[in-house]
Amino acid sequence: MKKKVFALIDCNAFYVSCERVFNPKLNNRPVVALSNNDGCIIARSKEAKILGIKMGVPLFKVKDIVERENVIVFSSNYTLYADMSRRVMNIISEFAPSIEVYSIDEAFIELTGVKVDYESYTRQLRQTILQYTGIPVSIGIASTKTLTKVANHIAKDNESLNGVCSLIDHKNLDRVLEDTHVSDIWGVGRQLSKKLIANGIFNAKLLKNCEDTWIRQMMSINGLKTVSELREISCLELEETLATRKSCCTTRSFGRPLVNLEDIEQAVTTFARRATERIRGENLTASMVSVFLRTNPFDKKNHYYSNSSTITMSYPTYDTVHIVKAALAITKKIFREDYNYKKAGVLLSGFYKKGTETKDLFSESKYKSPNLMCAVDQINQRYGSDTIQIATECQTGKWKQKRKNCTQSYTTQLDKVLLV
Amino acid sequence: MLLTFYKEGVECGFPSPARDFTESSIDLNEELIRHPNSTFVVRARGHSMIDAGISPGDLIIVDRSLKPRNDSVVVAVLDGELSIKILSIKSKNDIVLKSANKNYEDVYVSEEMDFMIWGVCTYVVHDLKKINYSV
Repeated sequence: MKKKVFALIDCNAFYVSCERVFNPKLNNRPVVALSNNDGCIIARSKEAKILGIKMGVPLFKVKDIVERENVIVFSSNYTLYADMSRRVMNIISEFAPSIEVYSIDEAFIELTGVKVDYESYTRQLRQTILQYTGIPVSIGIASTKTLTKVANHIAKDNESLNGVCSLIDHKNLDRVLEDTHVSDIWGVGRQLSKKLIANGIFNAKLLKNCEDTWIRQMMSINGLKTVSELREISCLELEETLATRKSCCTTRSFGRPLVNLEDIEQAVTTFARRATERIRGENLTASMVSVFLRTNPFDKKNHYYSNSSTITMSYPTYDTVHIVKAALAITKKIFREDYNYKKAGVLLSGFYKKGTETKDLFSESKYKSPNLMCAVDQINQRYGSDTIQIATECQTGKWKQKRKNCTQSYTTQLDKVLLV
Repeated sequence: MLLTFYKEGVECGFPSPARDFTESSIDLNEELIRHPNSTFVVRARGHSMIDAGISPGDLIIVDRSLKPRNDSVVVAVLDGELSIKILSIKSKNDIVLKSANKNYEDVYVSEEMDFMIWGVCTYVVHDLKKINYSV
């Protein structure tokens, strides 16, 4: 069988790199970016990694290092990151016949049959992304997607490779796999890697040489795919179009605990509106709306409460007004007085592709405002995502998140552009 | 950043006799932003480029995909500071960043300086209504 060629392009410390483009003083200094609500560290510059700041730790746990070493801390500026991501992905898609955008900062491409020298071609891609956007990337090339992940790690860890590592026709792949810890294999989660280590399988080479029947018992059918991919047999295709999703969830922790029903209703309305906007963008209608509420499980002083409930709509819809109404009805039902609520979320599910729903003789009229919704979406795209809201939202915004050190929308709003 | 231009208006009543002669309107995005993926907008601050037609508060369109040449107006990074300058390349080791204002001195780029070109400036948008940008 003819071997395939894949490449994985992964942005280096993406959020930090985005900040550095607009603030070059941050180069060569330790910089970290925080998750929603300024909770945990989710991006670290190389310099911050060297200081021993681990991925995902809560900020308060590394406060000493941050203060002692003058680590620069940013709240995440998703508007900026999304715009920079869009630019990077556009450039990548100009270089390859097909692309799978895997996350905000990662993409797979397939180069099977493309008549180029893969290494110098991807080097050129890397250089173009760096020049056009200022974002450094690492690229791993291999005959399977799982192996591109391995190659990408090597490209990131060895500065001498200048960001590109190819495992195509590699002379000693076993040696490379021997140096790859099982927990670093794509598709091997924490639980599974514990199980494998307990069975003496520490690295990718040992896993590759296991018997298929044993693997199937241990890791299920997907595990067998992973192992085949380590053996250079491609089992995972490029997923170019997003599979129709099963659900869409908007959930946030509140900036501070909320007690009143009105404040929570306000947050739930915003979540419901945003989730509906998202499914509308994908031309889906939802037939089920769920809401959940909970207090802080780590708060030892107060009682813990958590609840959720679901409503089935009489007709699948993408109308914000109907979905918000349903979400608020659930909120009223599950809300209990005298709790400090910390988090809420809205989940839409039971999707139909717009137009494929079974028609309902009696509730047809509920599906009447597509033009209104379309106009709302256009206005919000043009003037900022919260320009038109539902009336229950337009109050105090008590639930809004902490974003203490957030930079401006350098690339998306004229009054916020960089001053030079 | 991209603005939407409506190429076709709303039609009411009697069809316009000019209908067959309409062309799509002028799209400044298309004219001024040739490479959307590498183009950024920044705002000028200070008077150092006044003689090159860049006033404080003006919007500058910067294309990072273009190769800077001798006499290009560029956004330069010198020791972490961003500034707009005219790039003067005498030879590979003889690079000068000039201002367009006689009150500002030229900057000779030496080897120990941390220097890079952020992007090449392509257009200036100057507000003739003289809105006062206090920057």
